[in-house]
Amino acid sequence: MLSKIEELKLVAQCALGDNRRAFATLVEAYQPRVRRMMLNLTCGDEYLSDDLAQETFIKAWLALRSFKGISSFSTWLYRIGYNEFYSHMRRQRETPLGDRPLPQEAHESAVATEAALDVRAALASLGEAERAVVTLHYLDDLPLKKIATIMSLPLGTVKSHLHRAKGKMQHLLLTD
Amino acid sequence: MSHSKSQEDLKLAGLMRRQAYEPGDNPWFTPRVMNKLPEKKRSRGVPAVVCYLAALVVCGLSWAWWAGGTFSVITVRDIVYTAVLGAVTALVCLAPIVALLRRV
Repeated sequence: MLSKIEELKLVAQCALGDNRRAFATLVEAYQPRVRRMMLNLTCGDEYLSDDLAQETFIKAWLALRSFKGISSFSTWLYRIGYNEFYSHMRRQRETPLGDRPLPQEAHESAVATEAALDVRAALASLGEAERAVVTLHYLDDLPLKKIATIMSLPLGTVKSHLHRAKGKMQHLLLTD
Repeated sequence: MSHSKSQEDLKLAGLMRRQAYEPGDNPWFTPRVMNKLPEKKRSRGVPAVVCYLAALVVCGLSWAWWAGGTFSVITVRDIVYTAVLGAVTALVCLAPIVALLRRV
């Protein structure tokens, strides 16, 4: 995990000097979190989540000069990642059903426990925005205000997404 | 309004951390991203602004030299000099407006 100062130093090296080695360090530090977010957003589609995570880092590299440092680098990166996921879903909705690639089966049957399958089924039952809020809030422990920034939504909308998602998940997971 | 975590929140967070999807190690992820990074185009912004400011200074100095001269007799050379300086100054002044219009 990078310290705040190290992170700022690396971002400055990338933005001012196009330093690829510094960017590789940032990718290495953040790729587990970005890949995990994508994997949960795509309901376990490993190939798609890795593709989206890869695109996220490429877009971040191209846009690094526009990073003002108002929010933290991770918030900024998550925001690019969420936009990437959102654009992918929008493109998919616009593609006729027959032309869509089949989603990759998650390799979970062999290794996942029953509880894990329940959680994953509960995640899959959520809408895209609800799943994003739940993933960022419970997995990454991000405050709702940051999630609102990442998703470019008003705080109230994020709260109502979380409320609805919690209701659905509690019904599926905690009532048994 | 602050969002304090309730018991249900903590239970869900615990369940999610233990049971949600977790990506496996992918040692090729970073090299693949680095291989796909496009070359960035160097910005022409700073050199362009420096050249523009230099042109403005040269124009200003030229007009100061022109204004300091005595014109008891106006020669063809004076007329040509004034016309050329006027044209160059007009070009320098119009350049940022043209650049702005092209961007729009």
